[in-house]
Amino acid sequence: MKLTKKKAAGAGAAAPGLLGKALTRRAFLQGSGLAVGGAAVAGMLPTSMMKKAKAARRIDPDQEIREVLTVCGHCSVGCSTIAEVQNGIWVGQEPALDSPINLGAHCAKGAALRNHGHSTRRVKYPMKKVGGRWERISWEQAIDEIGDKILHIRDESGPDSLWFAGSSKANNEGAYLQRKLAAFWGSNNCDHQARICHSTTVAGVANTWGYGAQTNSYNDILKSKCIVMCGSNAAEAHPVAMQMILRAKENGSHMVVMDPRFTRTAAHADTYVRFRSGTDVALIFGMLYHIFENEWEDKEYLEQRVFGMDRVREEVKKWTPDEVERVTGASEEAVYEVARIMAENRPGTFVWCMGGTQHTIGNNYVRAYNCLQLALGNIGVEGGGANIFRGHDNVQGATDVGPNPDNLPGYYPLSEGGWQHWARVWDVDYEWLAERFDQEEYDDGQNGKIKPMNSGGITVSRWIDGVLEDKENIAQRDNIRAVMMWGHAPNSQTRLPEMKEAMEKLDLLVVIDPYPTVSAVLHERTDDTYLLPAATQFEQAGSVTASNRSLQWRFQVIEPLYEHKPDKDIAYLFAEKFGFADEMFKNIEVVNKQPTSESILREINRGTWSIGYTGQSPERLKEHMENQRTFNVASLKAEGGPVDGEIYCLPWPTYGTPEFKHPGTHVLYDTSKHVLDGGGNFRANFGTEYEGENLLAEGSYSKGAEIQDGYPEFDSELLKQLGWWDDLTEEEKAEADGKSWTTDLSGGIIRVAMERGCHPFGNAKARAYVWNFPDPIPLHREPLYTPRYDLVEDYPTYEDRKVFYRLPTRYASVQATDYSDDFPLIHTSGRLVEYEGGGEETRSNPWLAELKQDMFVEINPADANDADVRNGQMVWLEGPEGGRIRIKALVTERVGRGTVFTPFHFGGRFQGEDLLERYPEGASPYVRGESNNTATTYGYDSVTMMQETKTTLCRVTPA
Amino acid sequence: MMPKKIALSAIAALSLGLLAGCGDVTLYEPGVYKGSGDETASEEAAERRADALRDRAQAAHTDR
Amino acid sequence: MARMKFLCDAERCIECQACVTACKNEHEVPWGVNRRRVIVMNDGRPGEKSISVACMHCTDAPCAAVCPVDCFYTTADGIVLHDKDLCIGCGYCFYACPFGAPQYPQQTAFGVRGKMDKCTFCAGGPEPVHSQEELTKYGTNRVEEGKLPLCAEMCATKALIAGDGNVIADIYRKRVMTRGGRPQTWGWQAAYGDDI
Ligand code: SF4
Ligand code: SF4
Ligand code: SF4
Repeated sequence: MKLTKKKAAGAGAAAPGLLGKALTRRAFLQGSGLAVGGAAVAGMLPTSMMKKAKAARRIDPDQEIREVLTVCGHCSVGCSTIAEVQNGIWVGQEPALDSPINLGAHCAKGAALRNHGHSTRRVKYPMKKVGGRWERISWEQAIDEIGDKILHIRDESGPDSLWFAGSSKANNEGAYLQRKLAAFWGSNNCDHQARICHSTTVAGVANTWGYGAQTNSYNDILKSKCIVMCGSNAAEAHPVAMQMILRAKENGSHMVVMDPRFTRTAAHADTYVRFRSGTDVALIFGMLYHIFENEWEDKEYLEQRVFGMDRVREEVKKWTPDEVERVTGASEEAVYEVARIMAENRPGTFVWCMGGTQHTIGNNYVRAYNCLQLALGNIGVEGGGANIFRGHDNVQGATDVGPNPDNLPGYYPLSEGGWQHWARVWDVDYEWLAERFDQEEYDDGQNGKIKPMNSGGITVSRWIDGVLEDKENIAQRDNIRAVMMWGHAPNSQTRLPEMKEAMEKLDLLVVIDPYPTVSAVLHERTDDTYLLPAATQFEQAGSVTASNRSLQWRFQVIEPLYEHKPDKDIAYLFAEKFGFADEMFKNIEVVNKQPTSESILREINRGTWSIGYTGQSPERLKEHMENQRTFNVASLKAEGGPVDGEIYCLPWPTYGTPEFKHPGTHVLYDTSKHVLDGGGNFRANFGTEYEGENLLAEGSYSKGAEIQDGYPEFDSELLKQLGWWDDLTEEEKAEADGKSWTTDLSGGIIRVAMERGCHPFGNAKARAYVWNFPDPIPLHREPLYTPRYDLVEDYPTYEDRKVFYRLPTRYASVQATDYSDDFPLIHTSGRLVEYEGGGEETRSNPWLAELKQDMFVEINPADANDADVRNGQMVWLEGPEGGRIRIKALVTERVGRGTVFTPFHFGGRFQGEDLLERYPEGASPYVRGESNNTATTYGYDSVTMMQETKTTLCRVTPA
Repeated sequence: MMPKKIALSAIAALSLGLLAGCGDVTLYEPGVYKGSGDETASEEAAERRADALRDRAQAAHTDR
Repeated sequence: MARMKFLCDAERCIECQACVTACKNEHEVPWGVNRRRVIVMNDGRPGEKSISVACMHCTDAPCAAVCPVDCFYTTADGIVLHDKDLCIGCGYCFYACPFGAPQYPQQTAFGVRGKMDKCTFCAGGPEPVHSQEELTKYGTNRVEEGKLPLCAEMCATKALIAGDGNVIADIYRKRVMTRGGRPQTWGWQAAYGDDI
């Protein structure tokens, strides 16, 4: 943070006469108190905006301006920006040219951030609905009433009757407290956006090679010789990533885009392949077919570092060019060409986003991509990798340490061991914690019984079924009766007509957000509905994890506007009301009921050994932010300066204590570097052998490792066997004995292993064959709502499941009906650059809202003609489950024949009806429109409950 | 030093004054700026900021 | 003498609209007025290209030539500015401008044009530097602070570049050399003549 004044260029060297003159004139004008601008400004406004006109902001050129380095709150690229603040008001925004991530650049959203500093279309103070009208209340009253109601419901129905969505928009500290709050409340019923964004990625890649994260970085793409993007529209979803991608392309990298839609990203590609939505496994295996056929695979790599590729090879054989074309629509030439380009241009990177994840078999897509990259030896190398672009600004961080229903911070399991570990970190009695939970046992879906403390909670994609499903069918004590949407838009989830019903059935609905969101207006509730104003990202400080795993420190720009409160403060107030604040904040510094971000991060540091969130102390992160300019853009490594040799903002894993000074890991699993220099290898997380086959690496190890072969993960026993035990200090020994590297709170096991050049998580093979998943080899299965019903016989979906994340989950029974005659068009969805997520925040920003004022559907000219629809006309888009939306038709060849596309950011209209009057006064967004998810359908991934939003069916008719 | 157009209009104003001295004649010089002065439009101002703007262009637009 | 120019590299522009919102942000340009716009050619088809357009600050600016009240002037470093107190909102400059830069906010319910507004190259206007008047009528004056247009400084991909014509031509030339392709200096000829 630094202080400057508005000053003339080269002022230091400038003739004082000139400058002096300017100052005198300004002083004169100030003295005379002119307001010349008023009339002119009014003259500049269209009549529709006259009433809303405010005079332009005032900047006093002679007063100090504080420059605050902060981080964009809109996507996982993590662009820095400089906020200029005068008298507590955010008066200017300057590009952060020193940031190695964005070099000053932004997209439409990032360049409009300053509006957060004075936006008025917010929930300004706590409100509740009384007889259908919003009434203002105080924070005290709100917490009191909500708390009493929740406690009452708990008495009747147990702790699992409360379900809440936390947030990927919260910083790590806020997201961590959301998870901790659920734990101390005694339930796993919390979730956040990652479920419906990259959960299939996280599960898929973690089960393949170790960690559930992007392996390389946006910057590292500069080193790629080939960039293949499948189901990623970075030009709209991660625009500043395109800076690196286009630079790589200029340097000769070959850029391929595979997508059902000719996106703005595709417009820049050297090669574009259109294929049918929902057929990625077939497409990728079609490529692998050519790779194996031509022996383009990296044989040595496969032998040393990959398990099970031979099994995949058998499946790939079935995907002959003819079959690939029959299923995907992509020609043999096109598929061969991409395979050849990838084979000839190594290292190559593979990028995927929601197009590859939001499917009933999303986990299969992800693992098919993994197999492709493994076959080419592209994982664990600079310029290669699975460059998974995450969505929200902190969705990676919230996945790592936030409100997940199926694990604890750091991906520690919900088994007793995981809880024991965190109970020790939190310094609370494990038994006490366990007693907070419902003690009954329920069906675990695998012919056994399980306690709620140990079973994955209900996911954000399915909470509505937790409300609506018959109580007998749910594997917990009662239905969900109270819901808090804490930084989560509802319109990003499918099946909105049923959500409306669910919201209306609830005993209590609480919305915690800077904006009312669609949660405030979708339903017709009259009472027991609350809005609590949460602060924006710029009104609080904390760390945020970008997609590349760097933890940037986001400095606070302004004090919260109106009565907004940061997430961490809200967590404290609830904990206090529920009566466990003393336990929950035992080792966290709390000032005036406000926990400090630094002390929360230190607690995260003390517990999250498993993924190396331990070395990123607040001090180190701040030092990195202050020295942004010293980092090399391609390697993200500091060259000279106070943090020489460290990687920008310590991408996790940054193992060991902060004092251990691990530099952070830029490229995961990279054996060409020493582990103390960010090197690594694949993780040994699945034992040492499977059906007699060795799972450990063979003849491959990270640079300088003392064990020059595969080895299992480290624990005290292994250290003793290796004769390294005495490398530990006496204190470390006392703590480490009987522990593994993930639970040794001294960090000693990690230190010793790494000083000997070994990776604490072991050195194993990646798994092309994931035996613990429903389809160990990724298989193609037709979507539940498929336009190609003729293929269902060959590629059927799964059997229905009785209990899956506590709920019955349907597959075959949905697919049993052929809808393709009545609903002939594939309905796919995605993002627009101007908006983000459910869109309420960005649609409340006039600089963005002006650019996209109508919800629309992209439809191919041929389909438009078939439906008798003209460009710009209003149409009804109707899904097979009955939801329908009234929107504008955009006739374009961007989508192929048979596919329509809708953006998912709109809300505030429902099946033709404008919901404006249901917003609290003055808090409605500038632009409202139908939510596309009103017309989307059922369908959930078989591993993670990811919702299917990319492939369903619809019909379009003139409205 | 003044920008060209302003300099021109100054000359025009000057000649206007001369003419006015000779009688009631109004003179309109088309294409010559008629608005108020801008202290940052001058050659001096441009020169003063030129270096800073060159550095800024390098900093902001080159691919680091 | 430095000559300020804009250049938009169609190979890099991704239609992301950062340039548009950066301008809104910097100058609080009201709803309905756009000093900068992104134009798309072949939308949704192979060959799709986009370009970001605002006032190009032409040499021998056509707008100035047609203005009946002579409210335009050019700074010594080539920035075309105008005096809003003089402007009568007649709209001639809009027809003269090859880039459609001038904007006329509606002034009344009957559609009479307001004072013309256009891109200032972030160099304010004929009011004292950094005064409230300058800010309200023309927006901030970055150039006088030694900074360049915010639209260009925040461009997502460094497609839009602005500054001394020699410097940006150099930056661009290097890029074209790496690419080994044909230059795509859209609009340069129309704005600055053959002498690029
Ligand atoms: S939304 Fe993403 S790409 Fe756009 S400015 Fe913010 S962080 Fe950068
Ligand atoms: S910011 Fe740059 S890339 Fe984005 S639209 Fe404008 S010129 Fe194009
Ligand atoms: S130079 Fe300044 S005024 Fe002109 S378009 Fe860019 S931001 Fe707007």
